Amino acid sequence: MEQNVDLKKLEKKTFLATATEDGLIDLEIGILIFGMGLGWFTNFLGSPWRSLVFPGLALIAFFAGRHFITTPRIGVVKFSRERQRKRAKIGLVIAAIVAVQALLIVGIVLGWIPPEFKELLGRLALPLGIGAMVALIMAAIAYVLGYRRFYIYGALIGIQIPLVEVLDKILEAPAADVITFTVPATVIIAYSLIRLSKFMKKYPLPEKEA
Amino acid sequence: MAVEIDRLIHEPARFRLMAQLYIIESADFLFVMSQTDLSFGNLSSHMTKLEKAGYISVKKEFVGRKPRTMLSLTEAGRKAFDQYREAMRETLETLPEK
Repeated sequence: MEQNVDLKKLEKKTFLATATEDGLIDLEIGILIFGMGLGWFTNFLGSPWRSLVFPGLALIAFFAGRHFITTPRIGVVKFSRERQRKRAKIGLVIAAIVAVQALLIVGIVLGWIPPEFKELLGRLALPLGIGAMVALIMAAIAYVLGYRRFYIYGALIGIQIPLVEVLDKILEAPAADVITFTVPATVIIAYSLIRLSKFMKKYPLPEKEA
Repeated sequence: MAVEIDRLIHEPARFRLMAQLYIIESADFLFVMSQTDLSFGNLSSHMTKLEKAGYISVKKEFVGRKPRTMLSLTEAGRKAFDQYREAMRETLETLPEK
């Protein structure tokens, strides 16, 4: 019977329909990871511009997609205060994780952390730290907002960053970056485009405006 | 004693519309249409009935040059929906087991 609807499930379904069903968030992540693999390609731009190319592209793809594809198809919604509080929680979790990481880096620089510990971690310390930070942020987003795919993305990026350091010793640059990042990034981008095309099919442009 | 069911909400399309608005703060006409699978005409007619009953609020606004119709549940609508759910729960509980 329709009147037995579970409102919590309906709210989650509605939220996910607006947040992830169009695949644009996957596309953004895919482009970001792609950029990690092909970063060397933009070296000619010099610092800091070279590091801004792919994040810039990812942001443009996301916002342009939302503006020109998603919103004209499904319209606009403002979620309840409880949902907005969940979003704010994510901000707090990310801020806390970044603060802990920053404290660790400051600790290493200022010598608060014993040199033996630094040696123990050796060259993998920074990539492991960055990988763990990204994985934790993605897991927090996945848990609070219910984006299950973010667990996979978080694990993927968390492994890739230290893996590149290991592969760098075996392969010649930039082969390690290209193999480690562009292969999963291509899979994620292809998946996002499939989601986007399904979304466009499910929600065609309305013929009549209200 | 028989529990009174709000017939205005009990109609499946209007129930879907009320449930959709219950879980959010507000949404435009297009969003509600896409989430309830109601056609333009259907949604318009149910929206008018619920607005007349004071259950939903309909606001017309302009975003740039484009008109936008924003829908939200009123306090009375939220209360009526809560009461409807309670009444339905009570009714179903009184039914004998299979």
